[in-house]
Amino acid sequence: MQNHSGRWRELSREKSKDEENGSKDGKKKGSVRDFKVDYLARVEGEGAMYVKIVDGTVNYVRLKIYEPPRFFEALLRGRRFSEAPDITARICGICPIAYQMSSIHAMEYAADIRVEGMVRLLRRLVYCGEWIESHALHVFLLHLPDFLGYASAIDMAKEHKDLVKNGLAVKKLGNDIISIIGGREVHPINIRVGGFYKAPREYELQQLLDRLDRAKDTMVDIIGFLAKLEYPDFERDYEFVALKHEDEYPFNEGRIVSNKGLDMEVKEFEEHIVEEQVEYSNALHSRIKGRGSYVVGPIARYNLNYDRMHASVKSISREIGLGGYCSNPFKSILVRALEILYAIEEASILIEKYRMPDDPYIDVYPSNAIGYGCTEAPRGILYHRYVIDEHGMIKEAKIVPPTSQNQKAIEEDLYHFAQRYVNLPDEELVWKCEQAIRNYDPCISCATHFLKAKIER
Amino acid sequence: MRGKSILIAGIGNIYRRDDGIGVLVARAIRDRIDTKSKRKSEISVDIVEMNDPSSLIDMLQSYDKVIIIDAVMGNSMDMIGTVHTLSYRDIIDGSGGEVVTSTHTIDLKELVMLIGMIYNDDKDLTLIGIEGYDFGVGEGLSPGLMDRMDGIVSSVMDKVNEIICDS
Repeated sequence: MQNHSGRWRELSREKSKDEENGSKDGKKKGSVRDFKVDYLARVEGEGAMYVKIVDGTVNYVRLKIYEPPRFFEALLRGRRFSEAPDITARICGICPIAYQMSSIHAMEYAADIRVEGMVRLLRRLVYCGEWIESHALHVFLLHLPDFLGYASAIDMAKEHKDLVKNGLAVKKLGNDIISIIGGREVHPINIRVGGFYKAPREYELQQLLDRLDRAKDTMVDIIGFLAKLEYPDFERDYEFVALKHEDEYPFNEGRIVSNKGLDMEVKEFEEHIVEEQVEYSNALHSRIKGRGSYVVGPIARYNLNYDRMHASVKSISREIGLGGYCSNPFKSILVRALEILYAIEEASILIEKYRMPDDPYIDVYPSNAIGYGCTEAPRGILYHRYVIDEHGMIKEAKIVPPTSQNQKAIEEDLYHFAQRYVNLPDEELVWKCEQAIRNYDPCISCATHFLKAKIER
Repeated sequence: MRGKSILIAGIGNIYRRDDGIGVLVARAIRDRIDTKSKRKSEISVDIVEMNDPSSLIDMLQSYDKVIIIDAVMGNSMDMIGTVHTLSYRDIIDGSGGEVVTSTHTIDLKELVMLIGMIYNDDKDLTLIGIEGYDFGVGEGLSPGLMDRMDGIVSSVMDKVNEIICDS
């Protein structure tokens, strides 16, 4: 096992009472172990974790994250409805399509417009691209090093070069789907309320078919490899929440359902889900009214929509022994890989069906209305609500991203998981806890990055 | 014979104050470089902007030369707007000083190292880093950086022209 002290992680620990008294035995009565991780390695953005251990028992766990959607909700007020897709796309550098799609569906709901046909097909296709790209980034560069015992993707690539190379080829395919439909020159700029500014020609998409076939074979091999990894035996009784469409694995549409009886229209989201401020984090924690934490994302989608998966994907999931239900968050890497395979197959099917539409969009003018939208971002359901005035200006915006919905469940996982490994040395325990966080692919500080420079000449 | 292809990537988030400087400078350069006429000659230039550097993984292999324009975090207001230029080797070896990035998915140094390792390729890559100061949420650059915008764009343009002329 290599050194797991990620470069960006700043681990600090207060001395235990026993250490102050000259004893090294952290299990003795009266001992207090605190550890604080100021930067979470291989988690998008800025985050911090704090674990307090008293007398060998985990006292509490706090995950501190910064959440930018609050700023964007304020920024959106007073803007024209048509600006929402481009502005919200900036919230997350990894999943701009998800933010665009949730805002677009909300605006179309407000205008009582439903987009069908080839434009609807293109929306599913571009979402396939985003799942492939986002999931591949997480599976191959951020999550897999944990299971193979490497501190980073670079260390892993030294010994598993072909695996990383194949993974990056899959990721690039997702990016190319987005580029053809969404436009490359800047952010995905081709996506608008009502459809697309310009629809791609058939041949532009058909040129991807051979690569999709090869990527499918690649993923089948990789899923076989992932299935043989050793996973911590860790399961809890989660409430899983995801969209459920009448006959499709969900991207853009469906009712919001759970494995514990939740079944609602998107517009009822705030009647059943509440957000609470916690003192130690800028992010709001979501919970189901009258119950508590819940989980969104790949495992939730998979468990609630297994019957909507392609038969070929279900066959592979049975072969590897996963079946139709998973409650071990560490196996989310397997589920993400299965969702990549699904998205690759679905993209092929959609491209074969695609015919360039005469009208790439329909005019949509919401006024004096409330719009609700919820789509399946790679990390889980992403809810938007907008209040639009009579001039089409946004009076109020609410955005609930998947990470804030998962945050309570992540903390609960950490609480139980840290307890299991409480006797490990601090650094190893921190690494274990980071793995538990990375199971959820949290997008902690969407859309910011910077270089810290100290340059001497 | 195929001409040289050059990618200019402005990285950053325009809603995180000075973090957006890379994107804004890339936009200014787009207005000054006639990419269409460049394509007719031996050199093609593409200018893109992106929130997240991980997208570069998918693009680096398609270009002969890559110029990345990005915000860097300085330590004092006195240095705000200072333009630093680092080569691929400077980044890999750290010979240009310590350059590190945040935890945003995969950082730039890791990304460049990974590409070099997987494809056995010493990328012809230049990082133009512009020192910012305020990386909090909000629209627009901080006043100190905004005041220096014209000079920054000229300075970056000179470096870009130098790289294009050497191609």
